Amino acid sequence: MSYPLDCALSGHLSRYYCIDKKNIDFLKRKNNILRSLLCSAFIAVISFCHAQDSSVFFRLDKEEILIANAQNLEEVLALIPGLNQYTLGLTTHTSFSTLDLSQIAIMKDDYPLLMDQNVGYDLQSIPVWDLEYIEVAFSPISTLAKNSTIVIRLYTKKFLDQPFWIETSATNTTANDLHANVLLGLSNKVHTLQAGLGRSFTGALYDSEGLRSTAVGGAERYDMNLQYKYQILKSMELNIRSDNSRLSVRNKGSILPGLSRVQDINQQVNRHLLFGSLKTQVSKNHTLTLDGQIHRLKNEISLIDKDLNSGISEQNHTEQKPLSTGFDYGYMRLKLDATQDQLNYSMGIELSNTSDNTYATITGIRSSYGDYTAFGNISYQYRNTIRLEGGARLLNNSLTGSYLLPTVKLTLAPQKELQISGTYSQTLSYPNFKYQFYPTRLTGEAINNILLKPRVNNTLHIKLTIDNPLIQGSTGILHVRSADIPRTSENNTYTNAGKSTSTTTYASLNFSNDFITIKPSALIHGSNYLKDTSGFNFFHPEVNIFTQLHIPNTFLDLGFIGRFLGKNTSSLITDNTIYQEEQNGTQQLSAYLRYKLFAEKLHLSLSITNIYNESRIARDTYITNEIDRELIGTAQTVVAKPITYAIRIAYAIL
Amino acid sequence: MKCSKYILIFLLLSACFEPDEILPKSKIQTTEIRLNTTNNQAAYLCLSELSRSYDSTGSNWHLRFENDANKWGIFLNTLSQVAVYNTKNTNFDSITEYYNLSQADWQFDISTSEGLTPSIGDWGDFSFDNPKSFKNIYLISWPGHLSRLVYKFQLLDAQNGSYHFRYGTLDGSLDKTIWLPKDEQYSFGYFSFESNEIATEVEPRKDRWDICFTFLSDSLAKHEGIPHLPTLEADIGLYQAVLLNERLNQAAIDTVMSLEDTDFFYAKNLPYLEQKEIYELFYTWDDDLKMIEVNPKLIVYLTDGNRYYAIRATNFVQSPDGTFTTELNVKQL
Repeated sequence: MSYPLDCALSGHLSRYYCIDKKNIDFLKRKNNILRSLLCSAFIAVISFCHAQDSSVFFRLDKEEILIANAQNLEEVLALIPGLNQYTLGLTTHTSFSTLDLSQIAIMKDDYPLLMDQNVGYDLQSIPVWDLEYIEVAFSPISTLAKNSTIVIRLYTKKFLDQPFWIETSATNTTANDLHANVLLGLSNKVHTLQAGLGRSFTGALYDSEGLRSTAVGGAERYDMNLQYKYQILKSMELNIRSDNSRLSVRNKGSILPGLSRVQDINQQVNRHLLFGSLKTQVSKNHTLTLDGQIHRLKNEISLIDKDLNSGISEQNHTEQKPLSTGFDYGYMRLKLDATQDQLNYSMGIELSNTSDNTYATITGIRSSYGDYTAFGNISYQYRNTIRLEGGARLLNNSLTGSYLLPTVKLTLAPQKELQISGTYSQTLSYPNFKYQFYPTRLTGEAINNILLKPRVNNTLHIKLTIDNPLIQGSTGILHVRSADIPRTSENNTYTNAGKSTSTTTYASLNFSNDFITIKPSALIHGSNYLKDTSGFNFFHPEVNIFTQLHIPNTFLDLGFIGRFLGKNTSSLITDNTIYQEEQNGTQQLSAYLRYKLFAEKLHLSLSITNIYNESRIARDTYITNEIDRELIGTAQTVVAKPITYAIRIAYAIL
Repeated sequence: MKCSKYILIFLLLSACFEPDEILPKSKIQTTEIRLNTTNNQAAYLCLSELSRSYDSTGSNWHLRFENDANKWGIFLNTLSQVAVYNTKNTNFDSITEYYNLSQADWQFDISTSEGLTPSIGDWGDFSFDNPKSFKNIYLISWPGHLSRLVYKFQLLDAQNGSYHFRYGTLDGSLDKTIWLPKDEQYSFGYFSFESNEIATEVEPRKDRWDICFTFLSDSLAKHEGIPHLPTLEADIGLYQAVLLNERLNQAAIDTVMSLEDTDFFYAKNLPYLEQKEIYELFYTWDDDLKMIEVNPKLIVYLTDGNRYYAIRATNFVQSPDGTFTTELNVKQL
């Protein structure tokens, strides 16, 4: 199997072989070993520096999403090495060491997908059937000022220059899930349209066999995603994208003892995103892009009293339920990119605004903030052995002031198959919206602080990459030092008092040929969540393996994904008391078999997910003192659905 | 093409949320409450588990002391006709058998708009973490075998969640000092002057009862025509009443919907008031038959905001030995 990125890489490598042959002759004539080494380094830089973004840690392909039968972004993130995910109550928590999802940027086709990440998102509302691949990058050089320590990039299918094409698929599982979607495209080379419709139903996961109460509620989602490209001139194009989803989740409560009464929690998420981009070539080397986005989110949660005898149900308006929220987000960016032989640069401005559309004003204060960022990045390559990239982003937030965020990256290619890079960057993560705006009467938590500053993440990423035609490997260290983390003060108000550090050491390989692709990776996270108050350092390991196999002379493909996660401990502080939460290790294994028919137009797949059937694992909570810790409670968290078999039929007319 | 249409409809309509099963109606449960003025002055009931009723057999007590952290009230056993008189004297030894008892104006606990009010009143300055006693000497009186007995009683102080008091006979033959610790698992701590010890088995733990049927004293004028048990005061009588546990003290009374038809949705829209005690709850006086009878249309609703209970009395019998029996229907909603 080959991917666009692999094609690019193999293209560079073939060029390398060609040049190398000439140089060998040259060396034979001159017998000059030193020049041979320099030449190799030069070739290696051509191969590596242009082959791929060295900040990319992992790439998840569509085939791998299918192996795990992942149907939404939440399920996809559970596959990504480095990320830890569990569901407790109504909330799913996803984190990378000390960084939770609110500090990890998620982009779709290189534009922000999830506002400022600080409003709480239900990632079940984001479909993945329109994605081609996903990349995870550590500390990339980017124009993003917010949450760019780790960036997860989603990429959709590229526009096809065909008059008409259609792809459709349906997946049915033994858990009574059904996922169906259709994606079609039309093009006359000037106007290109892609439209996708999807319906996804995911059955509930019950607390126990025979019980009514659910650990994870059943969910039904309808999606409509549209993309339109207008090639106005050869050098000017307009892109418009609209993503719309409506998600309904029903969390069933237990039957009250001796009664026919229950209390359910229903959730309805409506998400609408409209994005536009106008791109024009202003000179041979300069491109000007104007982007804009509006994004509206409504997350309505209702508490429903039901009598299972009479069938009567009524909404309960008590305040003892999770808060309904809703936000509007506006985004605009003007960017100038310059591409030359050795010197590349980009600069521009970015404006964004986030406002609450459920509690527009609270006690006379408008719950809204905005920011603008001026950014500039420059990249210089010296003799193809050294590349220096750097830049700065000046962000001004309407509530908390200005921040200058530098970034610098040095890449060296001392040998033809070796590349070393080091990156330092500083980014911001806004505090949770409710910490700034929602009073105690709404949250039941600490007193809000409208002047709460963003969390500052200082990141150092060192990476060593080894590449040859058959195997690529990389190893590195990602060190993140965070400051100004919101904590509750003695008067129960949120303040910027917290600090944390995390160090992740990783190693990964990518072995690929025409028949087999194997991607093993191993990570060790070292985390200190309370650097400001305690010396507790926790380590947790993980091993991942992604494998795809094409059986020669057949139309049969096989795939396996395995994730083996060690015990994961974190700490938190509340009311001057330190707690530790320790989640047991887990192992997840999925496999699939695919058969292609009718000139590969029809695909039949059979997959099995969670072969070890590890669905729930214990999460212990300890209260700690200087010398010991005491167990105060254990919760059962959901880390995956129980073992499920799925059958998928996909048909494409291209 | 036709086939694909059907497939599309199937995909859109199949795999939906499972419908809820239909459950039988919640049952009406029945229980009996028995009260006796001499050996069972209170009956405690746990509404979620009616079999867990508790009869107050340890009724030989004279004073009860509030156990809540910030409450320091001291109540009398009015059913045993315990009365109190504040001498305003602070010298314990100066109150002797020669004290002129005929001038004593004996007081009983009585219901006011704020609930049952202790006649001992404010015995100290409660603005301190540990209240400072005024150290007044109270005379406590209750019926003996031949005549009323009188003890003197002085609150010394209260420290570390305990009452510290001194008591004794007027002739000085008994002089004792007692620490009575607060136990917040129980609403009250009880003390008996006869046994000189803290009384137990008077009430169950707070988390094991919801409603208590007992007798409370009140002015006759408030309950015109209703029979009462006499007290030392001619205008004060003892009436049947219920005490509500503070964990289930939102109460509403309704006569419109029958117990059979009422449900959670009806109950949750009723206007609730926080109550500590309710007098003569289920009973009415039949002027023609000259007897107490229950009102089966009257439903009492109790809630804590989550749990809802509807209670109805169906029968009331007074036996010659002084036992009052009330049959109750309880429906959890």
